Amino acid sequence: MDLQDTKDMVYRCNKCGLCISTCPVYQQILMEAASPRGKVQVIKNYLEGNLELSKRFKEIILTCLLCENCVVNCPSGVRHDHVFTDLRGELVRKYGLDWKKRLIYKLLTNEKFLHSSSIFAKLGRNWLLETFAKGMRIGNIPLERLPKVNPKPFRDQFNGVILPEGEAKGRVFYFTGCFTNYFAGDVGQATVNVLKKLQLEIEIPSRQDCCGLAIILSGEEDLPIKNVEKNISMLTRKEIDAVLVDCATCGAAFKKEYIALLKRKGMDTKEAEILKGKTYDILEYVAERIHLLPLKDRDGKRIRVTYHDPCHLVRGQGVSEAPRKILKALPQVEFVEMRDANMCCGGGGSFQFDFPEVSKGITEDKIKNILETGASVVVTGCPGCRVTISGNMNEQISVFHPIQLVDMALA
Amino acid sequence: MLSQTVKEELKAIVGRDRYLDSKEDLITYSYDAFMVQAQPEIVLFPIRTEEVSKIMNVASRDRIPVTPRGAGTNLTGGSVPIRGGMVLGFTKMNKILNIDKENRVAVLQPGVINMEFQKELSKHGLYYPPDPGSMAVTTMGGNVAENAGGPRAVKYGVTKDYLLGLEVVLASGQILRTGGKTIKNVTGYNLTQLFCGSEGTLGLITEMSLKLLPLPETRRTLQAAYKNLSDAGKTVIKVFEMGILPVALEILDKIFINIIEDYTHVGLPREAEALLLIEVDGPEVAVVSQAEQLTKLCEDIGAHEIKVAKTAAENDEIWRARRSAYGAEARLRPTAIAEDCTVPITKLVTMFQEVEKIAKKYNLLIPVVAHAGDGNLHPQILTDIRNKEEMKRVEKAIDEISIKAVELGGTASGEHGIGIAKREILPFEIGEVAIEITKNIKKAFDPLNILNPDKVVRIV
Repeated sequence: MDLQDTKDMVYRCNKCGLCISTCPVYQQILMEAASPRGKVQVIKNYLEGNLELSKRFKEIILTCLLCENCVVNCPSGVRHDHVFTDLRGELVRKYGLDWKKRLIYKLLTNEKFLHSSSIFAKLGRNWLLETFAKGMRIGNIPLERLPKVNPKPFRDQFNGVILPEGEAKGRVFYFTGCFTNYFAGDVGQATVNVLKKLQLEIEIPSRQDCCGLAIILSGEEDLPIKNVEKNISMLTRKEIDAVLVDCATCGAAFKKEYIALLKRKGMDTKEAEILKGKTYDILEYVAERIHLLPLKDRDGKRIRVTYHDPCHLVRGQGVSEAPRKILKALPQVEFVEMRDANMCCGGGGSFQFDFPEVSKGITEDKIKNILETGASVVVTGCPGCRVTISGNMNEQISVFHPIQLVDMALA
Repeated sequence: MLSQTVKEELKAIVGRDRYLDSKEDLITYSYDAFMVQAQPEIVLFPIRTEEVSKIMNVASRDRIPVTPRGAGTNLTGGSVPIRGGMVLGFTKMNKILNIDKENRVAVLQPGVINMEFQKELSKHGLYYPPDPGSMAVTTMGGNVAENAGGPRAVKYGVTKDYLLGLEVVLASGQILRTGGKTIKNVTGYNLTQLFCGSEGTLGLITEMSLKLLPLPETRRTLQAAYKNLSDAGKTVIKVFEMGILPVALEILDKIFINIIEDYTHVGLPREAEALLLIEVDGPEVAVVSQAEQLTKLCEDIGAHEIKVAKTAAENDEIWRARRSAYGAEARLRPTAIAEDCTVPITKLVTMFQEVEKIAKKYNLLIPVVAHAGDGNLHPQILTDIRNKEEMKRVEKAIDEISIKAVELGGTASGEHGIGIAKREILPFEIGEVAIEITKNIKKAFDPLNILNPDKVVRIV
């Protein structure tokens, strides 16, 4: 790895410090090494040969949610996310991944094995743990609040080409992602219902591979490459016009992180660019067509709903208006904006397990802002955010994917 | 070098969670937004005045240099520990202790962020006007120590105009309380103001009392483009002659207009020589009438394109261009050095022209943005710190800009401070008598020269 882009990038940092104000991690720790500027300066010193990849160095680099607030607020255009992911790669090359992560990532890169292990996981998660491990926590989340495994993987029930009633007006490819397939069958069901009402044929091959973004962002660059290649070759087929994802993370992978990874590895990005061009978050796609959906009439009853912007959607893909447009159009919804809706929920993938204390403070702020709205439902299009928010919330507030509300509103 | 024993002693004062000494962490306390860097030996994060006092007891006993630091956004190197020793980070001492609505006074710890403070005040219908460019990040302790300004200074003044009282830990570790909660106070020397703008060289601010204003009802922004810079300068003077006191009066020069437009595509008039932004605030009726008068004034003097905001969103839209200035320039070159010369407003246009001449002479790109209403120009010298040859020309240009400002009856620094950056120009501007008195004041407060040593003036 020559890290050339990163070398150029670190000199762009003018050390103005404006990134500090929007960094949720810094706001918890209040020490410069937690800030994007601090990390960039530490990295610059490593690249200049003044620092080693020490334990403290590793800790500094990993104390980051990759939420990209710094990226969008940097006057100098520093791509902190790329710089930090590059350095995570350096760290993985030196330290390797810890065994738990390696195990999970291995699983995510082997769809067959993932599929069969989900049966055991169901047994483990849904019965064993609830029976014997009550009160245990993973990070800050009590085990009993982790999502339940689907009785049957979603794609075992929905696959092939699903046809709408009446004449089809087009065909879309639904990339379900691992979470919908193994945990959130209800989100998958809602997505299918809505797309059918839009008179679309929905192609769902039963065999789909994990997008691999969790692995990519850990800095591990070789393990996910097969998934990346498989997904690109499956999804760039000419007859597919639109690839829909219901997961902000999968969308961010297809729209930008595949390209970034291939660039880092010095590989061709042409096909990845094609995939970027036809990937849509389900909310983006539905917002454009919301007027075509047959919705229930507005009657008196409305539930108050607030929306949380996932990092991978609002900054990763620049999607923020679409979900709001949808929520405002739904007859039974009273949409209320929460404060700092676009601030990270504190989950950050494995961040919440690696740095539970920091994560907790950020999540508490998010939950406070949710409660302030008086909403009884909070929606967000990212499974990670849903797990973090529902896992840390004691109040009786339901957490859904926005598409589930659309489904409920269908006439 | 600090001995391990002394490090342990200092660590024990704040506890291990608020103590740093790893190589990596020390690098992150070696800089602010200025170019010069130097590492401390340890960093401490006190949260109580007594801790600061105990730290200073040790520091004065062992003559350890102490550099106070807020968010580290200083543009003149004020928070860089150039003599090593320790950095005191005040970011964790960050409580708003009291907002006294009736007396219109707030009491704060030094680590409170300017913007957070403003947000909290607006809930009570109160207002603290100083708005330095880094207000989203900067700490109030740093604002007081640097006497921070901002665009609103035209109407509302700067930090010192709101400072009523302080709690300060002196070099000896003694705790000094000055001023109080009243606007009027002439009891004794004005020690409070002495610390304002002292850049951490006289004492460590651990608490401050600030005067508050009622939040203005509304505000309105107007943007006028001129084909002639001197017409924009003329407008600035005429605004005051009309009896209008605007909140802010900003000028962007033609280089800035174009680089901002390249970056933002907000539709700025590329052909213009100068873009003038005027903002007024107050009751709705007054603001509407003032905006009309100002529009006519700009037209009469020769503005060829005028935009008046009608809503809060339109205000923000106009300010977006101004706020994008820094981002636009930072993308052109890796290093941007923000100069800070300030002249009487009748010399504003001359100073713009002088900067242009200097830029040409040294073959540099120097866009200029100015808080025109108070004569404060920020020529932005765009360069690359790694280019040694160019940096020599940059240094010469900086000196010439500063000297020219002083010659025009102004000052080398309006709001960024002296720190390391402007130390050499100080004697030229304030003269030997003032330098001697400054040094004597420094010695009176800090006889061992341990508080932010070598900043502002060098004591030998």
